[in-house]
Amino acid sequence: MLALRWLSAAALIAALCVALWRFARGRGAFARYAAHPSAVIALAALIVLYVIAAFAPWLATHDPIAILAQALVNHPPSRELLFGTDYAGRDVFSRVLYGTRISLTIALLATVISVIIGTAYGATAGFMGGTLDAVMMRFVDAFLAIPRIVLLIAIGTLWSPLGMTSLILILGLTAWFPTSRLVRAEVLSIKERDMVAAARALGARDLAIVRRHVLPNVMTPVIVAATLGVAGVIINEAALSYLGIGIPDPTPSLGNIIREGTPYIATAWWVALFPGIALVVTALAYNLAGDGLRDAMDPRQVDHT
Amino acid sequence: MTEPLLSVRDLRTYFRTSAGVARAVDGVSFDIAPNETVGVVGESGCGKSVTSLSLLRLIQRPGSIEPESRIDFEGTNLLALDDESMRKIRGNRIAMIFQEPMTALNPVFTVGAQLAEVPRVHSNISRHDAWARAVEMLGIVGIPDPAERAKSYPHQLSGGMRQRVMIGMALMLSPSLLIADEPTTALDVTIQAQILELLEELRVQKAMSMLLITHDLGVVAESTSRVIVMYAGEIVEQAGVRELFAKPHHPYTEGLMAAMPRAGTKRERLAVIPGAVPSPYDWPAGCRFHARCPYAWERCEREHPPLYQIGEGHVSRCHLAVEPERRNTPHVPLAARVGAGA
Repeated sequence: MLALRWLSAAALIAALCVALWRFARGRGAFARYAAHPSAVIALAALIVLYVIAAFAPWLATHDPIAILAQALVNHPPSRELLFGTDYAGRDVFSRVLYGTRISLTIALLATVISVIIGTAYGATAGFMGGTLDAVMMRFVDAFLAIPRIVLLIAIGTLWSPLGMTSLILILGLTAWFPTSRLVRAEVLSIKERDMVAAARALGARDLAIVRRHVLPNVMTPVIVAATLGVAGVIINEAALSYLGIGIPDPTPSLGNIIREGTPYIATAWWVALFPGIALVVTALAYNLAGDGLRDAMDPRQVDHT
Repeated sequence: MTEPLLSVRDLRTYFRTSAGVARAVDGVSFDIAPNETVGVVGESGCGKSVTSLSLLRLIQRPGSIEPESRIDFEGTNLLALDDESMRKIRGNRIAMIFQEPMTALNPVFTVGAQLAEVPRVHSNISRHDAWARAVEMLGIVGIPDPAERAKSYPHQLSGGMRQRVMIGMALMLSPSLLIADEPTTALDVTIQAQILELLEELRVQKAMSMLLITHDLGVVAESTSRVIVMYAGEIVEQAGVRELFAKPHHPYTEGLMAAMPRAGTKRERLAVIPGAVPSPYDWPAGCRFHARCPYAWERCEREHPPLYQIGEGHVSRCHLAVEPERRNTPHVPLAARVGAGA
């Protein structure tokens, strides 16, 4: 099961890279991305994080859920126990590795779900227009009015106990509202462009127009939004786990490791600090990479030669 | 006269909005014969682009073509066709090229892929054959090294090249009518002439008819055989191109010609037609041009002029046809007087 998830995640990353390559090709986008040192560092950090996540079973020094010994409760960092141990005597280093792996998987898959739903929904509303558009967007507005974390807590409480799959689903199903608005706005402007009128004048069907003209031209902002969206989902997942609604103990996620460390923050600061750092680095890397991508792929910067 | 290829009768395209009904095209009738080039001229907002989009039934909400209109093309009333049959006519029998070749091409696909897409929309041609035809078409429209150029993206081509690609897309399926909406407006003057030449050459070669929409009388003089002058959603004058330039009848046509810059003449301020095109929500009563007309008299404010027959194939929507002596006493138009007072 886990292997299947990882295979699909790898396929998605590969697809994303191919998409990026296709849209960036010939536009000098890579040069513009490379011009942002922070974005380059962020990209490097993301690669490192994904390598860590992928190879967690080999990198971990201990079993992340095994209780090492009663004597090793809240043990400070040492040569053997790099990040120390938690209140139950589990190795924090191994737990952070596995937690990163789980948090990244959840965030990536949830984002994929939200991007697919948001793009399809926004494109339909924007392209069809009229009453359908108005009704669809009021529905989105209604959900956007509810703070996401409140929505997540409500669903999460009703749906407990949450497994990994259900957590991915609720995170994905509550994250697509802004994407749909973004896509709709883009589609509204694209469908007024001459190329759509020209395609119609040449006898193209609506579906072909959406496939050939609308979707490829909204992919740029969608990719950027998705990158920034992953950061948001990671934080939300951590928040849910922190509140005890997310991934249940003993499976580690960054959020629940922090939660378990919080009561002991004064005496065993290492339990909450290291997963906290991992969380901040991950979210920051996604945000910075997203900013870099936005600048690199901004269509206004396409050089007209 | 041979059976016309296209026959438009009483075309009315109205936009019903909350602000009222905009009668953008208000009772337009004309014919296009096989192998003929007809020019449509007029200021922005006179209804010429809406007319051309109406022919392909590409009017978007809230616009619609009124039910009493008729557009007969190759023996069928286009307005009676279902959407799928109409779609099959677009690109196939009637094609259209647009003003802005940059925005009319998709930036994310190569020009070859975009050309190859056209036959694939209408038939089951293989990807490979479609590409071969795309390359062939690029050669026909005068793009050097077409096999290489087919792999270029639109932004890698110049404006003139892009317009050639657009023309190629329109001609991919050998339509019998080509609608060209301001095809050269966005181009340099030297490129303009080349594109017009290319259009004429291909029109003759493919035995097509062409409807050339423009606001540039120079373009009309160069490439059309018959000219329709539109004003405020109506045809105000129609004549053979020589006749029109030699003996313009409608004061609006006269005004357009006076406003045309001419090479070799002494530099002076160009004549302008005072005022602006009135609002389509509320066309003026009587003659729609009367407020801007230097000959208008009270009949023009009261009575909407019909299309008077002026000569062989020459019609004009102006009461001067029945009271020609009024032409000898021009005065300052109403719009200019109001403009000065404001």
